[in-house]
Amino acid sequence: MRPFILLFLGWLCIWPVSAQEDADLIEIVVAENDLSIFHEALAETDWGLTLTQDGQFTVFAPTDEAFARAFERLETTKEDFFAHPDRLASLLSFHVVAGAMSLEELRGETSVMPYRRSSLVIDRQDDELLLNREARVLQGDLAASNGWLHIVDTVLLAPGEFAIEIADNLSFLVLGLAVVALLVSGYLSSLFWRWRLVNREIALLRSRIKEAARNDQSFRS
Amino acid sequence: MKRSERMKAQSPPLREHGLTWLAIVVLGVGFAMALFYAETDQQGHVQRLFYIHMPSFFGALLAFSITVYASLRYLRSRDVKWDRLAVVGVEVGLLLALINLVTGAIWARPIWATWWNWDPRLTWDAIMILTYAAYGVLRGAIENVETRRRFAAVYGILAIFTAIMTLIIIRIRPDTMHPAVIGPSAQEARGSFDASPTMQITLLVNLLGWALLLPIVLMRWRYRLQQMSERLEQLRQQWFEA
Repeated sequence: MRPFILLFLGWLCIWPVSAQEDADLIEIVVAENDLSIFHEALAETDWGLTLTQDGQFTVFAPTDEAFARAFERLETTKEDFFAHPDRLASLLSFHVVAGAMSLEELRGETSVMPYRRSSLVIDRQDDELLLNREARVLQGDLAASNGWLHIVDTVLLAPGEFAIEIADNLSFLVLGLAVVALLVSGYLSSLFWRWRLVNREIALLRSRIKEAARNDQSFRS
Repeated sequence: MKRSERMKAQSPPLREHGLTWLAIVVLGVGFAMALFYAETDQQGHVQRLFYIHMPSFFGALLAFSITVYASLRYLRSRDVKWDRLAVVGVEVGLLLALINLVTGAIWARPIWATWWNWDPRLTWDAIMILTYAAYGVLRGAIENVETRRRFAAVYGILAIFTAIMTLIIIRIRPDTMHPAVIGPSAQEARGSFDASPTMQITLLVNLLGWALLLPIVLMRWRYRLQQMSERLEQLRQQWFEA
């Protein structure tokens, strides 16, 4: 009897995991309280259907708070952003990678290629994973029947989206020009000062040599 | 000799001044075109750094190629003037390579979301700069003048490999993030753009300024300075002997 009880208790322990693995990625997103905007975004695009189907995916799901910050950063609102399904689909395609990858497997990579063909850089920082240099994994390894879901604290912005953010920002151009001006003027002034120094020393030595020759001549005579 | 005559004898010939002024005008026009004439794409204003970034690399490549030519001529003839030219090529090339590196890093911050990464193109660029910086160290480390010149010539010839690799690596490695301006970019390239006619004209003017006139002008002035330094050295010896 005792082994049966132990077996039953063991089954009880793994039951939630096995039950969750029967759920697809969308069902897992729905079950998480903090992913409602991500779920809405998926539902607005074809990704809502794709992630219910067979196949293996790795999904990075940003929290509602992450979306709020991203909208602020992109100087837009949720309504405005959702009004452009193409842009929304493009943003989401930066959060889905073909093939199922657990956190352990991601740790072994330096970058992965999401559906949007622009690589997603992976760094390790004090045992934590950092995606795209800024997004931390809050909760990883949520297993689904068709892949893995990792909850992240920042919306992953591909270069295009990021560029829109800084489109009117002159600061990087000004910084670049200032550094170029510094390098060129530094080199030119070093040339100028070296030139002056060498010129002056040549003139000084010439006059000394001449004077020495004159002294020598007068001594001999 | 009067002071005015001496000044005249020491000052460089008119064509040297002419070339310098031409370079200043072309660089000024190129700079104004980059800021006010050329359009930008969705990258925004930071994309305008490209008109300095790419031409300065080709300017560095020209200077390093002149070093190779001068080094070969030195090894054949043992004429000091070629050694002088090789040194000048490395110094000017290094300045332009640094400008290329720094403008690239500043562009990458908003476009790649990082100042630096170990992309194959960036890695080779760093190797190239360190290799040419070591050229100066090598010269300083060898006391015997003849040996120093001979070693530096061989080093100057071999070092061009790093510049060629920096140039062609984006055609060899498919995993580079660096966009190509001529021809298709690698699949993973980030920050590519289609050059409109205004962009192409602006690029041409800046190529003329940064990749041709500026290196030549800087090298000519630096060469004269090198000549003067050597003259000074001779005078010092003369003085001590006297």
